Amino acid sequence: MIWKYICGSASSPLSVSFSERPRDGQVIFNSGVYLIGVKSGLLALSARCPHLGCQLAYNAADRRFQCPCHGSQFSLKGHRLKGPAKKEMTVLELRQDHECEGYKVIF
Amino acid sequence: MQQTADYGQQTTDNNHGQRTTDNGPRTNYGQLALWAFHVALLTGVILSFHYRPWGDVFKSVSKISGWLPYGDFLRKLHYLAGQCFLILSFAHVLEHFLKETYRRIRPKEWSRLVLLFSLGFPLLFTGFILKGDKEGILAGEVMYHLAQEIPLIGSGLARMLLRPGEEFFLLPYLYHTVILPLTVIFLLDRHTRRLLPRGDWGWPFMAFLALLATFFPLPPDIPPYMEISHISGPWFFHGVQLLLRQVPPLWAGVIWPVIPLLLTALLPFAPPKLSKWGKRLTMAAWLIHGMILVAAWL
Repeated sequence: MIWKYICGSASSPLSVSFSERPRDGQVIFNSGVYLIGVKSGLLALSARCPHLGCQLAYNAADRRFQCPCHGSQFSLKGHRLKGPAKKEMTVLELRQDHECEGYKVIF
Repeated sequence: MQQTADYGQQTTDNNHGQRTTDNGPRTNYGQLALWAFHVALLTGVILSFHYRPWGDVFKSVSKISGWLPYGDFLRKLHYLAGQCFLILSFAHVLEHFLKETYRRIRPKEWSRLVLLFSLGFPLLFTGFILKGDKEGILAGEVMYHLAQEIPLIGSGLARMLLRPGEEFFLLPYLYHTVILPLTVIFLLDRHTRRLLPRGDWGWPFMAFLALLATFFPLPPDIPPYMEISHISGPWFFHGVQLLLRQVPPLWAGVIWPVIPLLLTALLPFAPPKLSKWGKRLTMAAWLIHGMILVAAWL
């Protein structure tokens, strides 16, 4: 299991930081991770399309994630809506890190 | 006695035991492809001095285009020469396919020619990845994941093609600048028995390429951080990209693209009774490929 620190030190090649906590329904992207504010708290999704690995783009108008390569679409919760992808978006385990007042994601 | 694959030359020496000169095509596609390869090679060597396959590759490419004297011209010339190499190689193979040259030469000789043409695809594809822009990065990701779809050897093969992370561009760079060009040079040497191109159309062709590179705008590089709703691969991959929307990746992205190449390469090995059907099947495979490609462009 690889640990990827969302607020980790900048020296670590795996570290990514989110400077703000997304509000309910808000989507923030950083270094291959989408952090989404949901009613129950936060949801971290890998931005990699489960079809062939393209980076999913967030379509704010339709409130869904879209694959720019082959057209797969996913809901804000990562559920597949249409397209060639057979799997859902990968949900990443999210833990609050009090040391650096941020969040870390477990892959 | 030396065999050359330049069927347009009035030479009588060959070691195939058959006279190909009288029946062979007289156009210069093969020679022009050789010229194109040399232009791509020369411009590629110059570009490689300034290209860095690590760190911010997009910045490295942008520097070549924006700061290096004649950098943009060199990039365009390299790009156009590469495209011409693939297209002219295809025309060369197609010409001999239609004239059924594969019946008159050694099967190995024909397969070598088809392999030579086929190498144009990975050469151009790795070059596309090395742009380092959004399209290049995603093309690399797709190639990596497509390779993983191959049963048994997939994951190992994928790691031989590309390593995600810091070294993302390193292996495609090695393939594009060393492994594939050396393989092409080796095969060209075996195919033509001479590496330097000849033919009356060489210099006008070079002038045409230079003129085109002066006025032809390169497709714009998309910064890696930019979010866009649609990304395209290299033009020859558009058909496969369209198929990948409908068909499982292994079939659409691995098996289907190889079929016409394999059929073409194996033509001389078909039993005489099936030879005509082999040609029809090969032609059908290429036609369907072409139709899907055109459909993707539309």
